[in-house]
Amino acid sequence: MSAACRAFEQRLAEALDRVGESATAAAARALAAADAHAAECPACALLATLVAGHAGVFAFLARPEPSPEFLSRLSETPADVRARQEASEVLSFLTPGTLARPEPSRALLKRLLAVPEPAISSAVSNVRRGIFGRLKPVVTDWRFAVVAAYAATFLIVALLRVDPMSVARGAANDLTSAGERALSEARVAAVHRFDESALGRATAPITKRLDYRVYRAFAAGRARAVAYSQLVFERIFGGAVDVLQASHDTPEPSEPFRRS
Amino acid sequence: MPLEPHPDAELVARCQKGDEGAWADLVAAYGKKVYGIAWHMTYDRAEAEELAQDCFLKVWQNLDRYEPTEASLLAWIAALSRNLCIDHYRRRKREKGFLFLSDDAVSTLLPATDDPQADAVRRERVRMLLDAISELPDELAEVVILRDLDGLDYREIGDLLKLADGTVKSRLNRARIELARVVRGRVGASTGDGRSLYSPFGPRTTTATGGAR
Repeated sequence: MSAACRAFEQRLAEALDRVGESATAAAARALAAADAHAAECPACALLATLVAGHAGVFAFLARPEPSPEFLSRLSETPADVRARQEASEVLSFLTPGTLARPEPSRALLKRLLAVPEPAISSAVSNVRRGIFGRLKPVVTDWRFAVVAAYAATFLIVALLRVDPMSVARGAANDLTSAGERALSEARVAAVHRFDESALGRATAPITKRLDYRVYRAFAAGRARAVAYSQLVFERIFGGAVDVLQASHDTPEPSEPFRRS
Repeated sequence: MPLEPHPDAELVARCQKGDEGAWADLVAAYGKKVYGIAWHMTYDRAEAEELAQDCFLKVWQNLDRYEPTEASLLAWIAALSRNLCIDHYRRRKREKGFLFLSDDAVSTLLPATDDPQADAVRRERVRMLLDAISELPDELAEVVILRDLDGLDYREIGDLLKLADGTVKSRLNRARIELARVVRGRVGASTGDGRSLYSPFGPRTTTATGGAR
């Protein structure tokens, strides 16, 4: 449905609202004849014509009438009318305010207001309890245990004249220093263990990996070989020959790694 | 200034006291309207009688609750019957999807005339129109039935539905346009301008039972 058709329906509704009930059909017909949109749009013209036509159809229809027998059946007095007649005087008492409300007596109010006394416990039980039996319900209560623990703590502090905060602080310091010591020892042991392991040896320099005596023998052999080769070269070629003294640049193992 | 008692209040008071003549007067005054509402919600004589009977039974049982200052007796009775009838109407629509209009029902609305051919056309048109009403939403169908078929005026419908007169009128006109739209969807464009559709419904001259309005 287009916007123009919607606008026409709106105009039609307004036209019907303006006129009286008897002029509904005439208003719809007049709008269908005069409206520009209705002249162009057959659907809207048909709509207005149908609205007008329906009014004629409704006026044409007869109203259904109940049969006289049915009306007479309805008019018959209901079965409980006698009871209603007889009860009408009694029922009138049900009107609010007709009957007075019963009031309670003063004696009853006094009895209702009285507070009942608590029952005596000894009269209920016929078992005789000792001093511990009487205290047992109190001692076994958890609240009693908490109160007793606090009381004992305060008593100890008061008797020993100890400042609980300083004691706690000292204990915390001791714990801290002991922990730091343990950590440093653990760190040294871990480094030592690592150096002794295969992985530590593989990554260490050769001077640390070999035994110091082997190292000295290797270095002496090497110096001897250099000296002999120098002599041989002087005999063959004559004159002096410069030989690299590389062995002097080789670092020696540090003190902790000398094992011999 | 004290309010004058409602004219129906005395009738109700007499009924409450068990006055047999008062009940007959009440049925005579409102029986036809209640039956008409029930008939147009059912399109069936037997069901309408049953509903009307239930309605008056309800009226009898609730006479003590009627308050003359709040509504007229007609509005109160119509409200009781409407609640019964609209429930029946919705249940029947839900069960069957439409309201079946028997030949007997059509004959009730269109008594036979001397022109059988025109009678047949009228019956077909009325059947189509009443079927279209049952396709409307309930709140729109209700106002069309109450106003156009039962003949209640705006004030009575307003009392019944708890609406202002202006609201009743605008809703009724909206229902009429919606009804025309449903009928237009059924007849299609073959009808032309629609003037011929309802041409058999000229001014009524004679009726067999219902009488012209």
